Amino acid sequence: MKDEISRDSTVVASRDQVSSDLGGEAAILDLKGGTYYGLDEVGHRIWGLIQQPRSVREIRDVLVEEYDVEPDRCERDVVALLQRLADEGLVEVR
Amino acid sequence: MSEPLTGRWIMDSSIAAEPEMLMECARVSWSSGADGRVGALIRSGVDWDRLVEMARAHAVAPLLYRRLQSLRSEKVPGDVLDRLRGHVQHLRLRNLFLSGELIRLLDELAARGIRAIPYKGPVLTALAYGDLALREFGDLDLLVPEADVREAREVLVSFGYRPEHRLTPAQEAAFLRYDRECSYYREDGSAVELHWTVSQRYVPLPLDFEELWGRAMRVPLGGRAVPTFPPEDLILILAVHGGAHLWTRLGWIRDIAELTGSFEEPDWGRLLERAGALKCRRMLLLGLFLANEVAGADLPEDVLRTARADAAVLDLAGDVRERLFSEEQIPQGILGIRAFQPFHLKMMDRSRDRLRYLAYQATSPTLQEWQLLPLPAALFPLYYLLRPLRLTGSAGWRKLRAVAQSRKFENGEEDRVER
Repeated sequence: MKDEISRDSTVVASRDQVSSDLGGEAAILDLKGGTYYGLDEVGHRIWGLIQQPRSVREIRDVLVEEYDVEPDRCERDVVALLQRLADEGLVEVR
Repeated sequence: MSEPLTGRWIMDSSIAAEPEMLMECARVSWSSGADGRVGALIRSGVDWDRLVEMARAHAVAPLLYRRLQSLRSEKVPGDVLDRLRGHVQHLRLRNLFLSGELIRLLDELAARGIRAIPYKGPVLTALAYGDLALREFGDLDLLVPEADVREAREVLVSFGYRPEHRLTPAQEAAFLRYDRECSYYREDGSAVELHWTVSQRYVPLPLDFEELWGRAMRVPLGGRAVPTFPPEDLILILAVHGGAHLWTRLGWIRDIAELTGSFEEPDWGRLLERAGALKCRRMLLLGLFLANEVAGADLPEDVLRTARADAAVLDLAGDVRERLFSEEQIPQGILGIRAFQPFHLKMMDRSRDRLRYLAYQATSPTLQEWQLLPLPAALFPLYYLLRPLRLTGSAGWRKLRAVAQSRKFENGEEDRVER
């Protein structure tokens, strides 16, 4: 595990990737490993948000506003997704 | 040209339903009237297979898909939408892959100290369309300084690409001087065009690499910001490129139209002045005229008036109209000279550029001469004399070629020059 993500972390999409909308979902190509990743609609929204540095709290607040989800549950899911992305080198943790 | 040129110029002839539908779908903005027109065309009967085939040939299939999907009409056959959807999904992944490839290539070139400016391909798509899947492109275009072509080629070879042409050192030196690009291909279907000038040598567009590099802007691509030409340079380069290719693809016209919307503060008067200084004003006016007439680019009336005031622009636009959806092959020109086109002569601003074009076409050696008649390096200047002989199909050329063939086989050199 490269970086531990918490509710206080700030994250941004890595330099070493390129992504595209894929019919409402996101396709991400990791330039170092050459692996493609897919994100569902909510993941796509989070991916869009972290094209600029964002705190986990900011992301949670946007999603709670847009989706019918409890803040605590939302935060846990956001941290889990960002942790996976960080483990794959697709996001940088600041 | 006698017909009126206000309104939908290209639609005034008895255009078939499929080309008209394709142009409606490729317009930069859709009015409610266009919705009605597309609907009317569908009701009148569309050959869907032909439409999809044309959309792919004109590199506008993603635009057709987007438009048809937006109609949500039961009249659009489900299998047509499925086919287009499949094509667009494939394109998204393909363009994503090529974007990644471009970033990796730029990283490696930079690591070797080679300045490279990508244009067209993913960067034009990102700059003008904002969505990687809205534009079809088959290869990556890179401009590098002429002095760095050999090292850039090494980078491409290290990435698994093979040059289209294998040349002897003397041929390569001439190739650099008289050509503008070399294509590289890889087994997975990827292709890179390495350019050392931005336009064909016979076109007057004196844009120097250093000047272009100094004016380059950055466009976001993935997690990077990669250099490319600013819209005011790119529009000139694309207008010249479209003219050189006789504007036979709707996608090229749409690119110009899309690009006109990406200018932050367009100063059309200044752009036309610059085009005049670079001797490609008529080519720019033609590109802008087509972008407005065919793809609905929103351009100021004074720019369009300037274009209409040039009879040659209207004449050239008429040629484009005749050819755009024609199924006939592009004419070969006089004496079977492949690259020669009367269209090219007409699109040039000055007589001296037309003379230069003719002289270039008549004397500059091409790969065809090198491949048909391989000469030792010391005799290389002879190619300038041999090209006119070959173009006229003279007995002298045939005799020389026969001698060269016999010498080549005697020396076992038949594979020295290969494609």
